[in-house]
Amino acid sequence: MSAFKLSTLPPPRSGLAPSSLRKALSLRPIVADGAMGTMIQDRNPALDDFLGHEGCNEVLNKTRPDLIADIHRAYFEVGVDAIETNTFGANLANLAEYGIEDQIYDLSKYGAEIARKVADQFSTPENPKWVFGSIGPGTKLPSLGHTTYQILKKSYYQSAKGLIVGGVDALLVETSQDLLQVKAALNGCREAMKETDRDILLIAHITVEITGTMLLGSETLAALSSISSLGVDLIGLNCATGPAEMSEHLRQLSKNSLIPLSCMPNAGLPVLTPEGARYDLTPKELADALENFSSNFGLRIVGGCCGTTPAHLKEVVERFKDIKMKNVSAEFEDGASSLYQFIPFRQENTYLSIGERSNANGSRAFKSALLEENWQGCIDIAKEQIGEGAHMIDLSVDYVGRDGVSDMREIASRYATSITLPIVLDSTEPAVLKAGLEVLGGRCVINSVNYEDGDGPNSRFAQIMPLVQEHGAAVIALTIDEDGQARDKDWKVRVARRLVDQLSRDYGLTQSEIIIDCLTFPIATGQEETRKDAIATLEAIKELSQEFPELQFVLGISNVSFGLNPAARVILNSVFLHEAVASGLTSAIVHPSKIAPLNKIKEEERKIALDLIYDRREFVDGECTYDPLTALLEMFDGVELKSAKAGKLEELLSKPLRERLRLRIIDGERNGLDNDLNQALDSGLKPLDIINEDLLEGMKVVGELFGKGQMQLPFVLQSAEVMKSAVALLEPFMEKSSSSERGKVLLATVKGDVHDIGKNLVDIILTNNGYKTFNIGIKQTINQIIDAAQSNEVDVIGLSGLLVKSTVIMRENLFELTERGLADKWPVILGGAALTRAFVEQDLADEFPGTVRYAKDAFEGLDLVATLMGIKQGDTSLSLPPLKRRLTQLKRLESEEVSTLRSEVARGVKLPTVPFLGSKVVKGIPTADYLSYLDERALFLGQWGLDGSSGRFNEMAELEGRPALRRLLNESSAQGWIEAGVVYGYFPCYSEGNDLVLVHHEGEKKGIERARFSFPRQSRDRRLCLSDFFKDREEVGSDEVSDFDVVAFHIVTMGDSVSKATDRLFKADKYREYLELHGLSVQLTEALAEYWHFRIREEMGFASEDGEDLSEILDQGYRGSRYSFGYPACPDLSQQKMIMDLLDPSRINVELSEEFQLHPEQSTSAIIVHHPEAKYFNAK
Amino acid sequence: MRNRDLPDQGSNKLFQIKAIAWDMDGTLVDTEPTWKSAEQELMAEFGYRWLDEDSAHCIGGPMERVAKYLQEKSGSDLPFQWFGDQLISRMKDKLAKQPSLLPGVKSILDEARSAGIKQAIVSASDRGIVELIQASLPGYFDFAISANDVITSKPSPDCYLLAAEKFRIHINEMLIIEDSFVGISAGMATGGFVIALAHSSEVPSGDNLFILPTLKEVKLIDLMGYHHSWQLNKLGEFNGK
Repeated sequence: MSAFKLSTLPPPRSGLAPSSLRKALSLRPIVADGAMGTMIQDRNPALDDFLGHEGCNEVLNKTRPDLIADIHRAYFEVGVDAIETNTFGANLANLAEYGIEDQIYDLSKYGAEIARKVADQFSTPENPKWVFGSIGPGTKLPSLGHTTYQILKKSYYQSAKGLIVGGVDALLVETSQDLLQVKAALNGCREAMKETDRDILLIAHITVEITGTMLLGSETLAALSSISSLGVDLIGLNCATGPAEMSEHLRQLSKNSLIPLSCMPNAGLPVLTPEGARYDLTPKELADALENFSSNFGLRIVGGCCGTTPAHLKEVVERFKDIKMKNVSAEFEDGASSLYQFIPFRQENTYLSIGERSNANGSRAFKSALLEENWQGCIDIAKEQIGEGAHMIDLSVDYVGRDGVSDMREIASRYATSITLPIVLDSTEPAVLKAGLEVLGGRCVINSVNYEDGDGPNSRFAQIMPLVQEHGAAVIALTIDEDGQARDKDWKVRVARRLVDQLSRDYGLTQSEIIIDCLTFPIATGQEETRKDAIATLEAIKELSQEFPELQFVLGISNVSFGLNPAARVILNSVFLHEAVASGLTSAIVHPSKIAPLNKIKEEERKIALDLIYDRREFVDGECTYDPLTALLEMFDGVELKSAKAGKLEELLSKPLRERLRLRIIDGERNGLDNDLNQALDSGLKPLDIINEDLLEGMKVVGELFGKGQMQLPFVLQSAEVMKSAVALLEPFMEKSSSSERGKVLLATVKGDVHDIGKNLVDIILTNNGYKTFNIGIKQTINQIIDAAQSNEVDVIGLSGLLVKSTVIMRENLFELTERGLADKWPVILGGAALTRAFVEQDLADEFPGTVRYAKDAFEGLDLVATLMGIKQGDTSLSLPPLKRRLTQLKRLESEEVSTLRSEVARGVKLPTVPFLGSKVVKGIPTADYLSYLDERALFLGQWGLDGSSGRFNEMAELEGRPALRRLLNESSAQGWIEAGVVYGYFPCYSEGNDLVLVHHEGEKKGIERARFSFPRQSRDRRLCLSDFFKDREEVGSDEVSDFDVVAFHIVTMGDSVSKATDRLFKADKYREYLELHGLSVQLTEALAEYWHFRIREEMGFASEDGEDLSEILDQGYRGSRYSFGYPACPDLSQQKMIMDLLDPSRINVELSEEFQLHPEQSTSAIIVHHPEAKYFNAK
Repeated sequence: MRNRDLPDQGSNKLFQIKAIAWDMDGTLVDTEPTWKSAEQELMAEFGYRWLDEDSAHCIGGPMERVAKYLQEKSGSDLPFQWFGDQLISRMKDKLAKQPSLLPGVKSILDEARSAGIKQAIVSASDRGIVELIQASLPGYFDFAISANDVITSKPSPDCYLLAAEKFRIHINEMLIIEDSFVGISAGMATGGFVIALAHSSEVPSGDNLFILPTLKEVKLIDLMGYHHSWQLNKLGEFNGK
């Protein structure tokens, strides 16, 4: 749920009058200074000035106050309102490198005193000047275990204290890289601020790297969630990049933050020169950018970081003289965060699902992992829950006899970096909660507080709440008071009101961060007093959610069905959860995979469950004639809930050894493989026989099943993985000479084509069926192919390619082989998305004197290779399948004169307004933003080869597709594989015949032709051509840039890391993951392109015309269209060169190869047309 | 996710706007042209040509006086109440077709409604006329206060204090929008915060107001910003420096 709220500067601490800085910030933006480090270097301090600590600039606060004051003065002289102290490195990590960590306080205080003095000299009553105490990050990252929260917090207290005593007006925790370090720094500051009665402002700046996240992978909204509940007055960005890269992050902050923003960019991205980094952004460019941010995002503090000089700030001061404060509203959503991402408490169309299995008392698997101190096992259980669709993970380590604090530290610190979901810390012990809070940088939820032992000074309530406050956590509050657990509705409501009242009055919590648990009791015990428990809980939630609309509610669902058998529990839990959500429940602690969707529950079961929940027993003369509890027990008597997997394993183990080995391959069951193989070897079987008679037989079945459509690609790959490991285990026992090779095959993707997934799948299948492959990679010329075929003495050549162009290359390759007299040397098998059987087996086969065949998938390739090898080895019973020919002959189209006559596309379309002309770069787009544009069908069916036929799609998506997707997304963000980037822009243009002409929008060449795209025109139908969707020169009329039509382009990418990651998976024989990650990265690229097209429509002001759901969007249910080069309306890939020139995608590390392919593969470009009639068409 | 203090550090409380109290004539609507055209139409049926000076005579007058004036000019022996009823019903039709909102008002009404901020009309006009306007803008106002609802009219703050009471909110949670000198004075006398539209007359002095020439192109968020700055800046006065 989001609400429209004003982003406002918070008031000062209770009892304090607002400082002049706070008052000023409530009325207008103020300008701070620029870089400090380079200014110091320019003034060339002597070696002696550093007292032997060369490079430790903070020492100069003691030895050369004159030099530092001079720099401050240089900034005040150009008119800035505020300066930063020279204390960036006055922190533990930095000073410890010089062995002077005992001077944190002193050097901070000196730094503040110097700045204060200069500021006071420049200050007038009308024009006060302020000092920001700079607090840098140091080099120790607590989330990675370099140091601890407590150590950091204490040292930051020292620096904050020194700065405050020295006279600063605000503390600026800046250049932050690790959310846990920020938390330590801010809390050190808050401790120090408590000890003064001056109104000091607290400002936090994060640094978002060029990758689009903070150093450890935190998305901007994760940082916002974690930081803004820590008592800061402003949040902002500084360092790492210039303003261009900051725009998207500021947009996100501004859209979601309730506190105002601040921004101090570098003077552009550093250009590395022999003399060091150089920054090229001009003063005007900085001022332009900050002015733009200020009007769009309501910045309250602007300034500069690395590379900015007094000259830059002079320009900014000039510009900001007349800029009034811009008020902005935030669509605030409350929620929690991990180190990586933010998750709102209110989920659209569903409840927030909190996974319950990382619980020593609730999950047997977790308990045993904990008792064995198998920390990886504990992580795996959390990851499983991610796959099952949990939004947050409840973590409870309390176990009798163990050291909870130590267990919590071990597990929570591991969850911090490997689990991308926020953590709900669950313990009755304040010390255990504290241990978790001190290793988790994201915003946690505390589970829980209650009034069991009242709210007196020694109560748990009074011990836990200060932790909630210090760490800015949200809190689950149970309806338990001094009289016990609230059973009836009125009691629950009474305790909840008391909780809300006290939490907001005494601890400053807002309703949206309080999560009330109205308690779930078992209702299937048969005892009379429990019969009404569910009703009381549901009614309490209903009443409270009406009274406090922003309050959150949670229930531990499973408790309701305690005592029933597992099958009955699933039914009762699911129905109860559904009723609770209807009553206003917003979140639930559940085992997500044990909740059945209502439509999967039989009507009869549902009725009985409802009757039990609402106690609809029937009585005749005081005699119970219908008891839903009895009915439920009878209905589920003897019904067992067995997981499919466990059942299968049992079945497997019951088979004889050799059968088992075969089944292991077919089922892809790796667990226990080693044992079975050892047993087989011990029994005297030869390794080669095991491979040929058992394992390969299994692979053969896999191939057959796949061919019949009974086995899906991911499972085929899983089988291949098991095959691979089995062979690897057997190899040491094989004689050197005994080769299991059945033949050698060369595999290559042809020249100009970068797509290798198809070829690699063929490689996997051939290799694991006993063939030796030489997979020489992508973009292979015919020379490279022939060389490799000759030197490796292969038997067959397999060529692959995805592009239409590749079919032409393949034809050329065959021609070359013929020319060089090699046509008969190797049979050639061709495969790839753009090929057709008829093209290969008729057109190419007619031209090629040797053998050429088409393989539609890896298994047809396998069959062909097997046949070819059999023939070669003299098996006369074998022959290749006959060539398939077209039934009808192709009609040759007569080539026509190129027509440039404009079609009847409507003219006079109102021009959309665009926010800028030229190009922009955007990074760090949260995955969640474009994930909603992910085409699940294309991913699950197309890329992953899952079976969604005959109406099975939803079931497959629920059981296989989405769990795999969630696990993969978790892994991708924790590993930093996804580096989404966009370059896009708007350009003035007009059409001329079949051409689209772009003109310069600024500079000397304004209005003059800049680029020219040429598009084909349909020879029939509407005779459309892309250029027709733009005004022609006549319609433009004047030479004013604003009268020209406008076209947008974008290039989007998932970045290079994901390509590297897929490579690693392939090499590590993780076939299934390889397929999945590759497919995901390709579809995410598409999703990002679709999302960015939406953003462009939004910027052009017609996103409101969009279709309502994703299926409409994917079917072009919006105004205008997005065309990619290589598709029918604009087939000429080479014209992408012009897009490169316009957008400069080197900023997101995308380049165009000589064959006009984008690298990395997970990138795509498009031309975006706003004309309402523009839709896909085929220009033939 | 909010700004929160450490243990033993309470925070000064700032109020957020929960409701807007709109003065009617000159702030919310300009009904003069509509009155005039309704009067003209009605009187034309009696063959009387309604002139500007007739309009001027009736502006702001209580309904009874206007009705009597109409009856007199018409020369008809229909009861004056009939004229009053006729005029009101014609006004209703006209306003329903086109409420004569002043520039910028509609977007603020809409923004406030979608933000869940309650709104009311607080006018010194007669109940009948106020209800007329309220009815012409369905869905915006929780209630309307007219001259008939309070004993002492503007510049007494009573009507605004009554509005805050009816909203059940603190006066500082209510934004008052006014345009006339007496209206602005009434708003300021509550101690609450007033947006003063100074399109014509002079404005009383004081610090609990923000002066704007008009609401044209003004956003709700701006009004919230002025309200916030005012509160923040006056915090020191309560707490001592």
